[in-house]
Amino acid sequence: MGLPCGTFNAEYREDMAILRTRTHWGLAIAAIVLLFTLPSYLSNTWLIVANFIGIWIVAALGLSLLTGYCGQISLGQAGFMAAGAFSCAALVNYGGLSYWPALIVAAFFTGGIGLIFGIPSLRVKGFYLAIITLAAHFIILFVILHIPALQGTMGLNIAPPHIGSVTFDSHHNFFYLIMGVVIIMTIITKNIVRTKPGRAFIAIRDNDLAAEMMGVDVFRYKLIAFFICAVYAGLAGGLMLGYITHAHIDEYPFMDSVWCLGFLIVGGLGSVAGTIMGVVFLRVFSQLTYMYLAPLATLLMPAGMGTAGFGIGPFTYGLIIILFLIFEPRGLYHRWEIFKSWYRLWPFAY
Amino acid sequence: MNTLQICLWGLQIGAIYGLIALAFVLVYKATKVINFAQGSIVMLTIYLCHAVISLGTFPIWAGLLLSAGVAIGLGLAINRLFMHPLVGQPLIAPVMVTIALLGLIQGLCIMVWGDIGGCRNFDPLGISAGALHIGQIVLLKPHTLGFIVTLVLFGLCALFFKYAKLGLGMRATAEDHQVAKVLGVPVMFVFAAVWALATLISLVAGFILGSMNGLELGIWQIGIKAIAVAIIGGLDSIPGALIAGLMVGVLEQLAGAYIDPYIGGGLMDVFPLIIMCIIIYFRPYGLFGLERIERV
Repeated sequence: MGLPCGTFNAEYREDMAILRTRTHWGLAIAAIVLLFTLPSYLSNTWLIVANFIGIWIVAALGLSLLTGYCGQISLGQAGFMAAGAFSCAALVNYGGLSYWPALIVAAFFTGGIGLIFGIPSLRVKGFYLAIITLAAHFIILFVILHIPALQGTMGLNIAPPHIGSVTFDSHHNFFYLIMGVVIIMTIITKNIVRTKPGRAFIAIRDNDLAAEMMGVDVFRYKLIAFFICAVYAGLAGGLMLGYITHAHIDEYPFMDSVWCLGFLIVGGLGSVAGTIMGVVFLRVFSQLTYMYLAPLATLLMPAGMGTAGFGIGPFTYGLIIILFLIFEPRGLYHRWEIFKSWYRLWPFAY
Repeated sequence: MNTLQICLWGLQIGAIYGLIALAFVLVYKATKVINFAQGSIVMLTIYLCHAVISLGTFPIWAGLLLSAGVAIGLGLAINRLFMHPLVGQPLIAPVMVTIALLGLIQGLCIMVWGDIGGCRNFDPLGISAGALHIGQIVLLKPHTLGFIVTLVLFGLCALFFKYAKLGLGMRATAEDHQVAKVLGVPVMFVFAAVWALATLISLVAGFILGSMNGLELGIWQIGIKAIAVAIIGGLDSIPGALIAGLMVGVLEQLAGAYIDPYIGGGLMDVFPLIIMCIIIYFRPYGLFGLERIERV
């Protein structure tokens, strides 16, 4: 972590600051202003893309804590999102709560479900755990489908959420809500990483046996990581519910769990900024694929030979993730770091 | 009588799970890569087989040989393109590649065969509708064929690993890559051979699955059950794959017959996963898996 040239930390407070210099502050404020004026430049199509990017950033940040920082691969993020969405919808429809308390309760309820599937991490680790979370996805969807009140095959509807007289029923309004949540969750994540649990996660990721020898309660911190990851997923699921005002299991396919892991790989495991980059890159790319590549593929395929337009999405997603794994396993974030160290020294070579 | 019938069907379905789990276990044993894309590979090989057979009017054995060649080529290609560049990287990288491969292959199948849900009739042997009647028990022909083929393949595998030089090399590689290499085992060749063998077995399993129900784009989901079966049997145990496959098949069919009516169906799809979660908790290395002792 090199500092910009000529910058030194004289105080502990400066060392802990996320935004260190005036340039940082300027850039951050500019970025936030740009972010919140974004709806006025974007067309409706891209606004929808931006909203989904926001929802997936929340889910991916949770997975980043579990997989990127704590080293536990999870293939169940979409399942946890489904749990969050359905529990939120059930609390609104049957519990008589309004959307906001229901969202919080649902997020923590999903965290509890995450704990259940985290318990096997006491005995198993590595890819065995990945397979347990894979099972978690299917078991959660199975349970949702078989609770009659949740109407898994029909889905549950809720009214669009509102604060006071502002109703979040348009893409435009919801954008502000989602981006607000994204900023809060990003700051929280950034800070979780720097607390005692965050350092314990990193120790467990790097070498769990060594971490245990040094007095880290591995099982406890793994459970905490699972809990936090599932809370994020529940929150993302609840937001998804608020956005499309509908909870249905078809919105949480298994492949979404896989792509969520793909966001982390493309962005770079173990970095908050990388996670956001990964989500933005892949979602924007998939929208471009859908808009430009899919008609092309349909055109190129011989007539009556299948549905190239639908398949090209997963195909290119998979290809991009594989290419990143082979050629840049440290992800976009690593490239960004290289770029940063270059421009900080510019115009000198070193 | 009814229970006996269900158990027999379960054994036959379970044999297919065991067969796919065998492909999975072979790759894991040699390369230590958990192949999450196993289900997709089964799907792709069988669609390719269908394409090859419907290519022209040649005898069925020629079509099968040709599609076996295609399947082996596919395995070699996966190894060369996706696995080979990652040899020596942390294990998480190739495993992630197989996860991404799951999506890539699915996308490919949707692109090429996606019309009407990818549904195709597939019955090159003309056995799909046939059934054997033994007393009051009905055995469907493709299922019975699958059961026999599975047992034969497992037997061949056992002989191959015991007597063939390549099989011995694979066992040595499974034990330790570096030691095997020092002792003169061509480790890279073994990796390629294992992938080719795994896709070939996937083709056989896919062929039987296709003869049972025809082709559709949901076939890959059987890979998830196969992963569960492989875990239950112990990831590095070949007899474990067969025994766990048969066990899961029977339990799943029994659950489908006796529990499903009370909860409204669908239990068969997740039951292997539930069994896996329970078993993994009490025996983390599966029923027959080798327990690895970790050192710092």
